[in-house]
Parts: sequence; C-alpha cells; structure tokens
Amino acid sequence: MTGLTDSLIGAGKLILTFDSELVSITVLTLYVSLFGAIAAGLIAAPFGILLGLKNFRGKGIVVNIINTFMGLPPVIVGLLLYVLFSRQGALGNTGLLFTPQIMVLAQFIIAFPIITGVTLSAMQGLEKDVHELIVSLGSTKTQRMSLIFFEIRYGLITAFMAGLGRAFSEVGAVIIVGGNIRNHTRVLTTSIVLETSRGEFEQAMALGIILLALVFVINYGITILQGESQR
Amino acid sequence: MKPLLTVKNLSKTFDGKYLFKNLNFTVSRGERLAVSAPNGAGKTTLIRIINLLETPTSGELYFNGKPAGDARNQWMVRRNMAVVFQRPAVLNTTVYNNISIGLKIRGEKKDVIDKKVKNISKSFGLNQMEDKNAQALSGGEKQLLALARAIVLAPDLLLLDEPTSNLDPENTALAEKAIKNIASTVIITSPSAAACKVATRTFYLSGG
Repeated sequence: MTGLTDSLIGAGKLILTFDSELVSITVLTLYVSLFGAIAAGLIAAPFGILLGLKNFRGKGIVVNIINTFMGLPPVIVGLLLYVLFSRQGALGNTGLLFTPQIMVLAQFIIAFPIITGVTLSAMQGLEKDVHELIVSLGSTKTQRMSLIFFEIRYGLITAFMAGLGRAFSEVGAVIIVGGNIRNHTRVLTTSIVLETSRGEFEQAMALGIILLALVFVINYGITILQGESQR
Repeated sequence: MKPLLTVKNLSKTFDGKYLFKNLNFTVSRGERLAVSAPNGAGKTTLIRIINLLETPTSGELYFNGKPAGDARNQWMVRRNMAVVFQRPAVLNTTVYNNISIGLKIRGEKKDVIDKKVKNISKSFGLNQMEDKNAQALSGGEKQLLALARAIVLAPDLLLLDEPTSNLDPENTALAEKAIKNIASTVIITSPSAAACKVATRTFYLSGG
C-alpha cells in the first residue's frame, strides 16, 4: 500500500513539474492516436455508410471480414507492417520503420475496422422509413449522404470513440513498428511497459494517470458534443 | 393540356400474385384524386411507385409528359413531389428542422425557409413545439408534422397515403382544410371513398 502511495505521490510531482520527457511522450501519444483515429474515421465512416446502403454480391463476406478484423490482434498488424517496412521488406526503401508516421499507419489499420463495424451497426439501426424519407425529399447523392451522416451522428460519435479508445490503449503494434525509441517514438503505453519492467513505478504511474486523464478529457468533450447535437 | 401524371399499364406482383394489373389513369394539374381501396389492395404500393421508391413489375409512369423511371434523374422528379405516409418518419432533430429539410434540400434561402416554416407550423398548430425533438411527438403530431413538411414545399404533386389515419376529428378537419387550400395536384389514398372528403375525383382500386 505504501509502495502505491509513494508511486502516486511521485507521479503527482512528475506531472506537476511538467517533466519534459513526460510532456513529449504525451504529445506524441496524442499525435499518433488522434491522427490514426481521425484518418481512419474519415474513410471508415463513409465506407460503413455505403456498405449499409448498398446491396451487392459478396456483401456478407465483406461484413464478416470487417467483423473479424474488429478483433484483429494489434501485434499481428505490427508484425505485418514490420515485415513490409523493414529493410528487406517491399516498402523498406521508404525508411518509415521506427518513425511516428508508421505508428499512425498502425493505429489507422487497427481503428479502421472498428469504426467501419460500429458505423455499419448504426446504419442497420437507421429505420427504413427514415432512409426513404430522405430519398423521397428529392435529395441528391451528396445530400443523402450528409443527411444520413446527421441522422446516425450518435452512432458515428460512438464509432469514433471506440476507434480512438483502441488507438490510445494500443501497445503491441506501436512497440513493434515504433521501437519505443526515447524522444522519438515512445508513447504513453509503451513507456508504461518499459518503466514497469524497469521497476520505475512512479514514472509508470504518472504515465498511467496521464493516459487515463487524456481518455477522460476526450470522452468528456465528445459527450458534451453529443449533448449539443441532441437538438 | 398535358396531364401532370400518366400511368400506363402499371402492374405489380408480390410472390407471383398481382397486387394490381394494367392500371391506366391520368391526373390533371390541380386535380385532387382519391384512390380508394380496401386494406392490402396496393394503395401504399401505388403511392411508392409514383414516388419512385419502388419499381413496378411492368408499365410506365410519365411525369409532365416525360418518363419518370430513369434512375439518373429520379431525384429531380421527386423534387416536384412530396409524400406523406400513413406512418410518417421523422428525422432525429427538432420539429423546425424536420419541416424545413425539404426546403434546405431545394436550396432555398434561410430567410425564405424561416418565413415559410413559421407560417406552416402556425397553421398546423406546431409553432409551440418548433424546438422540440420530433421523435418525442405523439403519432398525431408526427402526422401533422409530415403534412406540414410536404405542404411547405408547394409541390406539383402531393402524394398522401391515408394522411389522417392517426388524427383526431379536429386535426383531421385542419388537415383536410390545408389539403383543399393548396394549389398542388393531390393523390390521396383512403380505405373508403366516403372518408375522403377532399377529392374532386375518386378512383377505385380493387385487388388483382
């Protein structure tokens, strides 16, 4: 118990003094997770909507693949990207391995099926009557898409939150492709793993508190946004 | 004068059975045509086909003398129509936004939209609930909203599928007055001819 209290006090000191390493790790975490989730959301949400709207041969298989990839183990993503971007890999000449950019790509790949799947589920919840109302009003394809976006906005927010939550908590893929390099590719989750293995519990605890606080603040902001869009 | 709507040899089958067969009729501008038929005879399906929400098994539709079924310009044809279904759908937003949505789609200016919505919501007794979420309305209120949303567009053709089925006598009278007062051509379905007081002509649809 004393150990935990000491760790918490030490963590509080690190946070209050704006420890420079802590700040850079936090900033990188925000960059990697937000960019990965936002990029995934920008493509996955329209894709999920289109998938919900269109009927085509093989749709069941596509939906099954997405559902399967929603539970995709991040270490597999990390491994595949590592093989692809390592020096001998097909994309080795890009020099992206062990950079924040490839960490964003990993987060994108992990968040994409989650956001698509939750959006598709929101589309399935969209009443047929409402969709027909939107069509019967004489909307163009673009207007139809934007009205559907508006109508399933709560589902889309949930989809984005699910994708972002996964990105924030991700360790496996980013540690493989990022390498957990100090002041370069070290993010909150990978740092927690490192500091814990080193026995640096104060540092690990501080990182954990920051990670929780970040998730809380972002979720709270989105909840407020949801409340605003109730109208 | 060219009829606004021409229906030629229209048939619709479900599970190999004819819901209606070789339907032929025209609707002139300004006319209020009642389609009377018992339940299950295809009234709603006919309205859906005219609104291009459903394709007929065979036959053709001409709107303003032009074939209406071309998939590329369906949205343009629909912009000249407005439809109210028996169980009206509402968007998950305010009453005001629900009424104004068709006008926004048609690119009307904000001040014009505001004026039109205020007028129509007042005449339908919805002005006190403009800021309320439409999903919280009662069935009757939703029906009034759907009528207001359609009538505010002043469409060439107003399609009404048993539009007063959820309304009490007072609101039925209100709706009928509004339908009579608009300049649009109207096709209105009703289970009995007697129930449809707004029609200038009645068309009986018998199953098969």
